[in-house]
Amino acid sequence: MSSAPSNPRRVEESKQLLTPEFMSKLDALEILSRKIFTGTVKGERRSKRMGESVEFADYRNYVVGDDLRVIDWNIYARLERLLLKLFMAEEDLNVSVLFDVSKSMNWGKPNKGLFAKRVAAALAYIGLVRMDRVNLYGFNSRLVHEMTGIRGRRFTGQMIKFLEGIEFEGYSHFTEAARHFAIRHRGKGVVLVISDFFDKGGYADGVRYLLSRDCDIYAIQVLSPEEIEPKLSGDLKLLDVEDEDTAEVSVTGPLLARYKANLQAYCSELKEHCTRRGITYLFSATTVPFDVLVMSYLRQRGLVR
Amino acid sequence: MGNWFLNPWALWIAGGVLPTLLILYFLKLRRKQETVPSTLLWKRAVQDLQVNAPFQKLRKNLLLLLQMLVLSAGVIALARPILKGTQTFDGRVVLMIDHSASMQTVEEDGRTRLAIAKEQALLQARRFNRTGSSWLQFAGVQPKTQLMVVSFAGDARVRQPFSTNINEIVAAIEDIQPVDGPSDLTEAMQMAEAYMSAPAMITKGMEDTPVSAAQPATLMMFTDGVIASAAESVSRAGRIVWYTIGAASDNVGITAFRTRRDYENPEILQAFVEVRNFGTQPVTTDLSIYLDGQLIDAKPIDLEPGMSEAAPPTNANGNDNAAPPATSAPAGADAGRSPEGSVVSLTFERPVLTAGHIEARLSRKDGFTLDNTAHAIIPAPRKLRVLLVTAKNWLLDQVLAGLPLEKVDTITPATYEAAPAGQLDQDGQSRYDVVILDKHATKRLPVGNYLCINTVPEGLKIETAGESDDYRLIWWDETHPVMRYVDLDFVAVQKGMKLATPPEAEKLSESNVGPAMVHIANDGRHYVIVGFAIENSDFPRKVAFPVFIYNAIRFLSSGGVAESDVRLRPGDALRVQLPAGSSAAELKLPGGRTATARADAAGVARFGGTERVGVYEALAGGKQIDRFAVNLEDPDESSIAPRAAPAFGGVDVQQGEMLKASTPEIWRWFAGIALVILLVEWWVYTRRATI
Repeated sequence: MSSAPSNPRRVEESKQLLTPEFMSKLDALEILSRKIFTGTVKGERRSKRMGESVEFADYRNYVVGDDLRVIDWNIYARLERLLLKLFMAEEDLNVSVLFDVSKSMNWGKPNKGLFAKRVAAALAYIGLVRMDRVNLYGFNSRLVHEMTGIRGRRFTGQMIKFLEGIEFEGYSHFTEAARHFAIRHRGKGVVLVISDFFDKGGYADGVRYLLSRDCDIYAIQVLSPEEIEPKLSGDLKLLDVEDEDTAEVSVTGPLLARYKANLQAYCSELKEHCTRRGITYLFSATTVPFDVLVMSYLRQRGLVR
Repeated sequence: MGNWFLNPWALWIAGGVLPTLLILYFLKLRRKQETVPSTLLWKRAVQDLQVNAPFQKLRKNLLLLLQMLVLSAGVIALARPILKGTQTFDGRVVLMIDHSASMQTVEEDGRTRLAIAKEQALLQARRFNRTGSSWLQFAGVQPKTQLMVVSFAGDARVRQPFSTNINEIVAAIEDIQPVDGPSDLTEAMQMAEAYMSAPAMITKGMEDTPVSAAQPATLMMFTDGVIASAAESVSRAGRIVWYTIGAASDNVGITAFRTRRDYENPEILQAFVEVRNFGTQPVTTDLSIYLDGQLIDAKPIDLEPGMSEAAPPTNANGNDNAAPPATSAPAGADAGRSPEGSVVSLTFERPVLTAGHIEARLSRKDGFTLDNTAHAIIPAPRKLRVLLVTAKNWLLDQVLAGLPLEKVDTITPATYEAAPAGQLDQDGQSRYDVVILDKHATKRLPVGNYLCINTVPEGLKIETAGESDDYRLIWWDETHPVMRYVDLDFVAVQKGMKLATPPEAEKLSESNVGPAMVHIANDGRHYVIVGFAIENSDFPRKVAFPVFIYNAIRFLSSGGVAESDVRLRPGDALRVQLPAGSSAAELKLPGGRTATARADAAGVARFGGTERVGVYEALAGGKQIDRFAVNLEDPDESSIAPRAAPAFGGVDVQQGEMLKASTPEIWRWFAGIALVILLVEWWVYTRRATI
């Protein structure tokens, strides 16, 4: 690890998912949720419940049965009234990262899959450091890889190893994977979906399944530069890498223009679809340095602080 | 549509080429395979471009559009479009094309009048319904105009009866070849009208009712108007459109050429040549006489202009495109009368000791070459041999002794009948040039020439009805070669035979009881029959008698025609007497072609295909037996200045408008457009490739 490049940009070129320098930057971040969930165990996160943190929340009148220890005796001394001093409870957060491992993700320069893995690793690391419950799911037509319920910094190595060991295969079927996730995943929290969202079955049903869990959902669409600006010309028979479907095209100026317009429309439609349903949508080309994505874009979107 | 194109077949190419181009566009390309993460958006993009129908694709495909335009423009250029308004007659049209000698005149542009006439006829034919091709008819387009093609020269020939099939018409027109004979319009008109009349539907009781033609046909006449019989032509056609072909009038030609051997000195050849100038300029040239290709004599000629420039014989200029109104009757009345031209006659006398082919040749070149040469075949010099069959006739002996003959044999009738076959004849031909039968009727008549005095040979259709004592000569034909310089004015005849002659017999002299002297030809034999005995008259005492004998021997020895009158013109039949054992004569025609003529029972072969001028050679068994010279010798045909339409008995004659084949063609424009579109197409293609 000591020989790892210090410059995050050079990390892009290596297979290494996270560098120590980047991890140290990530240490300062935490994953935010626009919703406040009740955790299961005491964590580092403010809970809806009043609890035992150091953060003052409110006063209330004593009722019989309250713990005498939490009575604010100073108030009683001054006002001769029994008031309880309430503190914010701090609980943990469920952070679930769903990342696409279908064949189509293993594409592009820079590679979409590696990019997705890095984002997943970074977010998972943040979660681990903040003592959140981190769940990682790799999906193609269903959930094929999962690492759930890890908590604490000590799982970092295990988590990275898990991610590195994942191969890209199969075809993506987001709806099925989301349904699967909805059944499997208990508890609320933050759900991040990293995919290209190029799913011939559509993404709408999958989004509905995710929403059913009442989670705080983030959708990150990752596309390679080859998909955004295709460098194709001539009369081609295009072969889909996932399902070997073919499309015969004669690449002409008008066709390229039409493709780009369609891509634009597809992304806009996805964004609108997400936004209407309270899902935060984030588009990223793999050419964007992923540290910039994490440190800047995700911050702007309010996912991390 | 078709009237706009000279090569309408090119449009059929378009029918094949353009769909082929479309098919090429529909054909699947051999595409390069390229793997992409997802075809989702590509398919959508392609679908967006294609939307629904292939026509959407085509509409957006600029390249295809441009290529279609290039092909269309190219094909239209191939079709040779012309800028010409359409004008069609409905009904029936007869295209009559003159292919006589004068139509071989070469015009200024180097083409013959016949070529121009054929081209004009083709252009006209193509202006009519082109729907003759069967599958357009099948598609329900009804043809409108029926066309007939008639070619005429000395005789007329229907090349193509009424038809709507343009291909047949074109083939019929293109098939017309020139002949060297004169034109005769009468037969052509009769033939055309025979076809033009509608099929008569005669019902019982209506036989006498004339059935008029269902549709009056239009006659289109493509001719230079050099037609001798034009003035006599009458037409029942509905309308005549007269296309005057040609403009040249400059011609100097040989209009007569005669040769003969001098009677006194047969080795001397006398040639008589008549040369006329039909042009408007004085001409100085020379005339050469060739014997078997060797020049033997030449003389210079000075000719005055044949006609004045101020008054050309025609009022219609063939190349005048402004269609004049229908020619009026006075203009028509002038037609058909050929201007005589200015004449120079030349006589040559040269000793020629062999038989041969004499050719007179004008050294001047003009547009009409047929009359610049004339041919003649001369026999070897020979004096005549005469057989006199008589009991005793010292008058004839005396006269014959005074004539320049090689030999005169005198035998009695009994000796004649008893003579062995070889003595009198050889291969059926008489050994003597002339046999004089004096009061001796016989059946023994080898092929030859006979002067029969007071007798009628057996086998002729001449009937004798006894003798008449009251016998007076009342008329004789002074123009006939036999009677030339024979004065019978004061000849008294005591008695003579009453003869009844068939119509084909030429009467040389008549008496009060019938023909007195007759020339008749039968089975290759020529007879001059004198219907009275010369000793029963004072004819021998007159100067006319030796002249008559001289003329008769000379006439008969030349084969029954006056030597100077031997003239064969194109279309005349050749008569070849074949040697015994030959059944057919081979004929070598001018121009190298050959023909065969079969002999009849009498061993005579006849050949009528003398369409070209020149020397015809008759062969039997590979051996030359006779030669014939066919000459134009027709001042009417040689006067090549185009003439206006005759009146045709008052039928509406319209001067036809010549169509131009060359100048109004606009295919170059289309070829240029094709090139420009091709450049644009190239630019579009390269622009597309660099995206």
